[in-house]
Amino acid sequence: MFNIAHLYPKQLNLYGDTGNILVIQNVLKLYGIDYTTYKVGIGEKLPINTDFIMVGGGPDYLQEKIYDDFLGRRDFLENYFNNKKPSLFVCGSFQLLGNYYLDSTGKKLPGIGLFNFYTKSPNNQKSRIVGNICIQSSIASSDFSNKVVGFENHNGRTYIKNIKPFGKTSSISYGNNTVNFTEGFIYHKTIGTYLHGPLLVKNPHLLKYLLSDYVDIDLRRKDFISQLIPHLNALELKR
Amino acid sequence: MLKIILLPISLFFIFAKFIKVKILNWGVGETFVGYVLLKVKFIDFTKLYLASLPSNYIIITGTNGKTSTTALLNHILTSQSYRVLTNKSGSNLERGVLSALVLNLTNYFFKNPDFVVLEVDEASVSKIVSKLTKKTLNLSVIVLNLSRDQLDRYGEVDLLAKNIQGSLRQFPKYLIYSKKSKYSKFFIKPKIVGKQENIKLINKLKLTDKNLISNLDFVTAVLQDLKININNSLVTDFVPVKGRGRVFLLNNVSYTINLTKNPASFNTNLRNISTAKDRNILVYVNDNIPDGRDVSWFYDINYILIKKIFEKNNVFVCGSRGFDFYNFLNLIEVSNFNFNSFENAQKYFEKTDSHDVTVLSNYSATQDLVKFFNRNV
Repeated sequence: MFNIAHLYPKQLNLYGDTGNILVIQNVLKLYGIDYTTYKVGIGEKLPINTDFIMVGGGPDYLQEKIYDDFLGRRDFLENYFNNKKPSLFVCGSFQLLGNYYLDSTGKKLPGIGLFNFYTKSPNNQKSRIVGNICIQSSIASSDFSNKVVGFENHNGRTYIKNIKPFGKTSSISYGNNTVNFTEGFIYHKTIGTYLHGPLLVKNPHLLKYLLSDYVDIDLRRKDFISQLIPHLNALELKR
Repeated sequence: MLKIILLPISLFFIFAKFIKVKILNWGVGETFVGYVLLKVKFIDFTKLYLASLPSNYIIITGTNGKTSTTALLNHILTSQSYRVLTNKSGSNLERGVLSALVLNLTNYFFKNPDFVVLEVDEASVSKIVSKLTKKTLNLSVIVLNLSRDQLDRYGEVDLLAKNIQGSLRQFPKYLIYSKKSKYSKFFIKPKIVGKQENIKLINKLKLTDKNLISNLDFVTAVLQDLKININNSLVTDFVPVKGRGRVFLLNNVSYTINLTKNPASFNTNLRNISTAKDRNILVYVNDNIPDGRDVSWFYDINYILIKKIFEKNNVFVCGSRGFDFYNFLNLIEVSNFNFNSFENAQKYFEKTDSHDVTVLSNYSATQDLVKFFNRNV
């Protein structure tokens, strides 16, 4: 039984994040693997044998709302990440894994400090980083593509230290911030990223990478081909 | 005095609109006036025109239902013989509001309107109210709803609510109307509008659309606060706004267009056809500028509802992001639907037993379809 945990689906689910869960379920079904999906809210326990953790994005006030609960899961998550189990943290939840988040009013919200980075929001909503994005990512490289596509929409600028970025951005898209061409971070099979879309729907090769310890996805399999086309289409999209 | 200064500008643009629309046949000319005047950076025409008007303002904003609710309020006010200035075309950005003010000045040159009723895009409310220079005015702001809509254009919804509230601080007297929602807490002492169920008025207006009936609650709440007693005997049938729910008949197939631009409007339109069986449904989705580039909202549509309805009807998907929608339907395991161009969708519908098509289209897709049908019907 493969256990999928969707953390805080009521609070952090701003950009169609459940699409990531859908595509995982779809693949598991295709390969005949039984699964259960747990929607885990504030105060609810994660399944002991969790095989995939997905946490989405949300507005600042809802990030504040889940913070104490998220902090309470710090040890579980640290252990989970070190055991090289797969997880995906998009936008707001990615920011919460770092040291702190300084919002646009100057208010400092602590992160759970599992990774060495911080995020700052400029005091101007017009400076939001918005648009289609395509990054180069070595972990997702395959015969099919070495790019990861998505849509970024965030005001926070994240500055990572001593941790591997998820990918490199180009001069027309931004990722973590507007200065150093990095996007997200990766630690074993934990990915923090600003890319939504939903990400795993648009990037089946990334899905293959994340689930590789459980299933050997054949991207050329006939009934999987249609999943590849959104990725190829997205490579052509305008910013 | 201000009106006299502004009159030549209005006359010039009324004439220009006539040439553009009637002689040159270049579009409907609803926003070009505002577009041109906003290019002038050293004079703020919106501020000047608003300053020339009296003090009763009703602003209608929200994610869904603005155009219809504005039309409904205007319909009721005018039925009671009130004079109303409004941007009735549904152009709700600053350029649309300014166009309406400029092109209507001659109607109100000698006698002021009793009310200025403006439909304003939720992200433009703060901009428009910042241009109201009379701080003593009566300002009513109706926030119909706020939900995820084109996040790439608007940002997060709580920020929109905070911006609307923040922009009103400058006025000593204003009232925000909201239904109880997770966003109403961002408003300071909002007037929470409850269910009014004014059956007599609903019957007089001959309202059938459930959402509009619900939004009538806002209209009656505002009118009560303005101490306007509605004489029901003067109220006539309300005709829905052009283009919303509009029906086109082509090659014996009837297409009903429903603007479907975000998860909330998609779910609403799905509920409206929840009992349909063997009906034709066309989903037409683009990602042009009016639509926003981000289509992640597909995954926020109610999966259970869409699967249930699409499974028992004939579904065709097209548009520049049709493939993303096709993939979404595959993932939620909707079987038996078609994906191709609009031209092929037409051929397909012409061959089906049912000759009614419910169209679910986002902004630019709706515009494309209306243009197409206007040319071909």
